[in-house]
Amino acid sequence: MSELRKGRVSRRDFFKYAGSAAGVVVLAGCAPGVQAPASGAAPAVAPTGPSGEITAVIRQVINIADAANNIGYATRVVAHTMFDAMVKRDLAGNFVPGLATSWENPDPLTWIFSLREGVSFHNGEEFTSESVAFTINRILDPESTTPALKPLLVDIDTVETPDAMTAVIRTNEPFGPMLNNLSMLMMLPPEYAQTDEYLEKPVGTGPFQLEEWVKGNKFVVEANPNYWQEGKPKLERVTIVEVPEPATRLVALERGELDFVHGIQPEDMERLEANADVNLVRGPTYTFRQFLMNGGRPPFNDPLVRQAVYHAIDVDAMVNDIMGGTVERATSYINANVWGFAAQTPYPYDPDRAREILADAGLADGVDMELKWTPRDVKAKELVEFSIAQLEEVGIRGKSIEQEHTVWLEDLLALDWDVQLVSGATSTGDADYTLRRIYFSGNNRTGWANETYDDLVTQAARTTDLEERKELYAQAQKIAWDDGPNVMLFEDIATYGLNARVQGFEPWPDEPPRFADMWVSS
Amino acid sequence: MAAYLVRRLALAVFVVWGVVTMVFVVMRLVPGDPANAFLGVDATQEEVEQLRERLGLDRSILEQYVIFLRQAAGGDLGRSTYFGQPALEMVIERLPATIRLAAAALVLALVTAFVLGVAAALRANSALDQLISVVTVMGQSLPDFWIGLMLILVFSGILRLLPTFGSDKLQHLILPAVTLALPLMGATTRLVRSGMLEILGQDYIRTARAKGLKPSVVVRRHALKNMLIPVVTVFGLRLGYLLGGSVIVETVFSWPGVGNTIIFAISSRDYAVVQAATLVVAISFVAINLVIDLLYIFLDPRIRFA
Repeated sequence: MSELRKGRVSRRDFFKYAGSAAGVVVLAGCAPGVQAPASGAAPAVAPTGPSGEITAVIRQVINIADAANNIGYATRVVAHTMFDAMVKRDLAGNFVPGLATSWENPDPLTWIFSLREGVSFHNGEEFTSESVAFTINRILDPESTTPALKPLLVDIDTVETPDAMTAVIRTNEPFGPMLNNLSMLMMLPPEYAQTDEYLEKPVGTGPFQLEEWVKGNKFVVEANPNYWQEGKPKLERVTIVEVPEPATRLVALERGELDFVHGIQPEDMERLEANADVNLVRGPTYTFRQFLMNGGRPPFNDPLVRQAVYHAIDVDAMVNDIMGGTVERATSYINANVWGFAAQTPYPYDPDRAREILADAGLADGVDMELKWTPRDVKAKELVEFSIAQLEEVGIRGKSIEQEHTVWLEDLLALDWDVQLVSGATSTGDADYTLRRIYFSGNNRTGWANETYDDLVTQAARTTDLEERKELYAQAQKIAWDDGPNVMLFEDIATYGLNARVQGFEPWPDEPPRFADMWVSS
Repeated sequence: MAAYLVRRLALAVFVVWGVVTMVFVVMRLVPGDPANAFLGVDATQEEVEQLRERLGLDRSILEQYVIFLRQAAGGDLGRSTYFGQPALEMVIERLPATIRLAAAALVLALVTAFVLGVAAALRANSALDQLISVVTVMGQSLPDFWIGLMLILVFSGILRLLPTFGSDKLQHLILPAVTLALPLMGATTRLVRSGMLEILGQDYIRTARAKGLKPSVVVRRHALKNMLIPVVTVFGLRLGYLLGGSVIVETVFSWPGVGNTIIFAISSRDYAVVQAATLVVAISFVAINLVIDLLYIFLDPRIRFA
């Protein structure tokens, strides 16, 4: 029985996301054998062995299937489909055994993992402590050509392998996000992963193994007959296809050519909700949208100007009128589903207050600024136009600058902007990823610098006590909320369209679907 | 003839080199770079710098160009930043799908255009002629993304006859091929019709008719071949474009062709793939044009190249 049924879900409003039909699917999927009254279909019983197949569309093109070399969404889909980490998280955010059966943290610098016996990779290589050492060293090696996960592991000093089934990780300093970050680290087969073939035909220990990969078009996996976890996977095959045109996706979903689509256009929701053959599921995310103000140059280096902006924009109107209920208002610098989240009090929309603050700052005549954005973000144009009109009313004269995504990114990282509309995600699900990576002044991402904030997020990363970390993040979020460079707008709600025959789907806040839990009713 | 061929081939090499060089330079002058595109919004400056160094993007354009030429001479066009696969291999893998779609669209357009064009010419100014010209003008003027989506809505959504996307079976080919063929069919039908009308007024046609030949024989044996030259010219040009992949049609129908690859590569600044794709498309374009020119000799023995 899953965490959902036990009522242990601590994530905010989880059930609210999983709308009516969705709730049914979610609940139906909780335990094999539970009857699923979804959409009046015949009761569905989970198969005991892998059977049936589905065709799915995910949100991005799969480009890197090397699960230990990217934390982008598409690679995470591959990771959860074909690989395993030592530590996993359950839906409630608790750490549960993966390829490690247990672990201990005898002192703040040492982590000892007991590994699962009898697990082998899809190519037959055995999983041992050597796999752990190899996977971590491959990333940390100064000459590494696959260093993408290095920021998550940078505090690791050595990995020792006292015996085949024990791995000891020693860190240079106490490292708070250790378990969380290890839950992102998928284990690789040491011998095979060193061959060129690995990048083309990756193998892991996961529930599915690669059958065919046509880059940018389809990614086909089949059940791993030797999977260590009893009763998984329940599907024989999953074909992930690339269907870039939303209208095509919609018709294909309605016709049953597609069984699973992640990301339904807001305008198609109503139509799908009326369709008995399709279940529409809403789910939590780790994402957020914000106006990022450059704290390193005028006028936004003045905290008063930033505060004026907080009050000048009617975020609720954006949430309701522009985004049409596909988002929720943000109440901190990270999404409410992220570990370490602490809710802050939203700034009231108050243009008079904004004008007063500007006058206090000696800017009664107003200021000029440029607002850069990229059309790749949903409804970006509308959000920008709306905000510019509102800012104009309090005397902040904005110029909208639309940029192609790559150009926009280049400017973002070069700090070449007054204000940018940014879509972000705390990909690891741990506050450290966003709060330290983006706002720690040493990383030079926002032009904003606050010493107390820097100390708090550094201290939090150096603490292995979870409660203490949480408290430190709460303080950091309060400082950011009062003084920081952002107008936080909203958090996205993920949308999934499922053919009614698909069972067992649960929306995870990090979003990649867990195909190993899904099955199809006959 | 041999001298002509040698001259044409030399020119072809020059054209291909020019195109590839231009794309090489332009891609690097356009703002936005692969390292940023690859690492996304969460990257730190330091990570971007490291990746730029690893990709060799910290060198001057000239240096990068010399390295590129040296490797290209050995058949190595680099690896895709985004997919990690050798770029040339990635493009060549996509070529069969593009050729299949292009060939299907061409055959479809050609057959329909001849049937409609000849019919319209033989019954010039009749109601049939008017109807055909309405159809051809529509085929030429409706945007292909709209046609594609409408075909999906009608034939997949409502009638449930054909699949919406995919490329494995013959059924998958029908909708994208029709979408791609329509504009070409429109243009060619009009070409066939006017060519036919002109030829039907010629003396030798009158002579053939006077000999008492059946009208179908007159059209088939005497008229058709003589109006092939303009049609072949238009087709040759069009085939070149089609081999570059029809981006819109490939996107709408999720067709795994070269066009899709190029667009994705451009937007993610995947230099190696853009260069490899340009090279392949430029070579095909030049080769097809050469073949078309040679075809003229066969179609009209009076044409000679010196």
